Amino acid sequence: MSPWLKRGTAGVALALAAATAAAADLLDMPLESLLQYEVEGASRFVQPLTEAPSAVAVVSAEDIRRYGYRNLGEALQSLRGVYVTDQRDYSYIGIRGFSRPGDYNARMLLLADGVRRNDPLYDTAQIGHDAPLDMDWIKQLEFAPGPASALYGANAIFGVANAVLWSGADLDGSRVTAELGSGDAARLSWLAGRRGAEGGGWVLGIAAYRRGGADIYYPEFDAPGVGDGWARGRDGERTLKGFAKLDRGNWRFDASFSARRKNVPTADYGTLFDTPGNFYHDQYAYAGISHSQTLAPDWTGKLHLRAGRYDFAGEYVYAGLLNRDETLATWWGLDYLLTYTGRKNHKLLIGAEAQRNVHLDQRNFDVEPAAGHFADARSGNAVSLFVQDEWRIDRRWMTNLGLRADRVAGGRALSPRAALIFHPLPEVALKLMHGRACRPPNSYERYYNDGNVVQKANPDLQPERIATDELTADYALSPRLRLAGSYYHYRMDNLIEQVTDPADGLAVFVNRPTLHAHGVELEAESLLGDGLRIRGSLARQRVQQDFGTAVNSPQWMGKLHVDGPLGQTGWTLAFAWRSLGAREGAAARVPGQAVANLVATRMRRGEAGAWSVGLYNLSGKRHLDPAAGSLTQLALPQDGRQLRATWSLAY
Amino acid sequence: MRRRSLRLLLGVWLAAALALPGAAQEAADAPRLRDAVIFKLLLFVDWPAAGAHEAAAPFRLCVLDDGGHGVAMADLAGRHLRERPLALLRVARDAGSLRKCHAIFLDAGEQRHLAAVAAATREAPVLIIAEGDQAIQQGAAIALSTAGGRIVFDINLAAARAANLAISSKLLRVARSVFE
Repeated sequence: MSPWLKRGTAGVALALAAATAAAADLLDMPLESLLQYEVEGASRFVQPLTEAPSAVAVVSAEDIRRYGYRNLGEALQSLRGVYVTDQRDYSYIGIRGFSRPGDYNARMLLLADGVRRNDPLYDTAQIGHDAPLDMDWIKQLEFAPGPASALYGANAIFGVANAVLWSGADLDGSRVTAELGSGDAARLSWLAGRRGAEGGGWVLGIAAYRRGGADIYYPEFDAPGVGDGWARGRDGERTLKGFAKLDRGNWRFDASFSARRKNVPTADYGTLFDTPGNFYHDQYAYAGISHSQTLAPDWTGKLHLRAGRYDFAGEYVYAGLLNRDETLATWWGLDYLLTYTGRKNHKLLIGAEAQRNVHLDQRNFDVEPAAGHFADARSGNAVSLFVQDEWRIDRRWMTNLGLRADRVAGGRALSPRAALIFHPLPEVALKLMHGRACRPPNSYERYYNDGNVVQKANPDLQPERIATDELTADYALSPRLRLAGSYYHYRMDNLIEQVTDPADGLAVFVNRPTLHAHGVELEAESLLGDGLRIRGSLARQRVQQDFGTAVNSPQWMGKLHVDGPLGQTGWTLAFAWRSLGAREGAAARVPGQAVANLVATRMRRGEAGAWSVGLYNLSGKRHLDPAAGSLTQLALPQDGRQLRATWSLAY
Repeated sequence: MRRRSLRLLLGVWLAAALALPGAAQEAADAPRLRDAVIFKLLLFVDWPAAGAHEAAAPFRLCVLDDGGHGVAMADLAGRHLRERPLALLRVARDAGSLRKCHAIFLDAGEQRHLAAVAAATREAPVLIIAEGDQAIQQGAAIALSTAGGRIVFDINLAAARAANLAISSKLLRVARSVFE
């Protein structure tokens, strides 16, 4: 043992002794004195998602482990009404029947510990392996469907996902995880955390992933003079991610980075098929510092200073030509949240956010031979104010009213929301919600073009607006059976969608006429004896629009999750099944699909570590996802049967 | 100009943060403080009179077995509550197990189970203490939350009465809100 380590151990022991003494003192104090203490540590930093009145679904770290979710998309698509489309460049989230061409996940807000992670240029919530988070860092993933723009602004149109990351106090130890999988995949991750004094602590995590990728057959490219249809070894991917969080008293510091390189096998945008050099690169970095302070007995303030950077590069190989996209977004922001609890049974939130987008730069050019097509450098400010009051009228009734005003480069937006929550019995909750949201177009949608070869700009793009009404019911029949249901109606004006202009054949973002969507979701969750858990959901939705069939919008979705211990063996089995109805694509309709996964996990983390073996897509059938308009393919076949084996050791 | 005002705002905040530690009272680790508050709350609640054989039996304070309490209430281990040894139990989510508890605590992460736990223990002398601003509506007799940087609690008298529990008037006075 090194002297440094020894000293560290002694320090921890001393701190523990001091903490234990403090605890004993606490227990001997009168209640009134305890109530005068100020709360310190990670729990000061409230997770704001719980403030949103919505049918919030939760995926715990235990669920992530049992079902072997390896990225945010896999975890989110276990939830009712959510589906993910994989175009082998990125994963695209679909919520309640909406996953439109050219929607780079701009209509879902991704938060990590309550802090926004969508970049300001594409507004993207990255949910695939490109996500700025590793699954090992997540303590709990929360998902609130429906608009939450009254609290969170423009991107919270169809839903908000909040990843609560481990803090040092939670972990107080280290773990190493290694994984091997089909498609020549390997993953290594290390996560460590220590509990500090007074609720503080630190966490450090690093994760690396690579996948060689299998060979993929695309019949559209099986033609004389084109090729045999096989993209051989063109689906590879590599990621590296890191994360740090330090809680000390009323201060929190956190930072993360992620880098990913994806080989694109689909020959999108008319690039050469089965040729080396078609790549997408994504890099994301974030750092933030926050401070929470009690200003007066009923006033709490939280100040948050944050900075981020997102880099994208696309490499496109054409005959005798190498074309490149380069995008840079850098920003910093200052947020202030004031909570007032002085009025009886009210909780008032007042917030202000200011974000400076230092760079919103997009370029498209030919590397060889050199030629510039498009260069657009912008900067801008976004300022927001919001207020929300939660009023507990009595033990049966609650209301939640919120209003947010945003001013950004693309326009102004006002987003109100009202919710009425009624508990006729403690085990029954009825929620009636109305919300309006507005999303101004981002600079990619407005300005991007590649010299009018494939895509052109539309600077006149207008903000899109949505108004939603939703009724949800939750009924806990017994501790072991819970039923839930939702009915919703969406009205969207000026929906921003990418289309092909028939006049010149170029892709362009346009505003669509008003459309309506409505749907019903039902869910049941049951806990049977011996730790057996069952959760099933059924979602039915329909989009009514006057401009053709809604693209990538399944009319029904079914999910089933069953997990439980396998006798006394120490193993747990988790079975997941999800199915989607048929979907319209840009070029062709794809049939419905059903995918089943089975994961066995040895739960006990002994000295030799814990094991997990998963079989994904049991039937091995290569299901089709609708292809984007930028692709030659009519539909994209997904991976067949996949095997993954994971070993982890906690110490 | 805008940049300067942001910097000024930040400067004022930092100055306030550093100069006003006096505005804050003594500080404590949240989970430990919470556990201590729960322990104290139990002293102000009366359970229906038990038989002689029960009087010296352990007081059963339960948490859910599938909850996230890694070090749940470690400080309370070995304590006594009015001469009775305090037993900390992890219980399964079924009516039989839940109704054997004197008190059940659910943390903020277990909110979704609260309504069901309340239903399962209805009319049994079980005190439900839960975290979260909406815990009262979901059937908890005592709801813990933080406000203004401190722990506060609300009381649902109807739920307590239905469970045949008597809450001392002293506790009602210290509570933030009392719901009839």
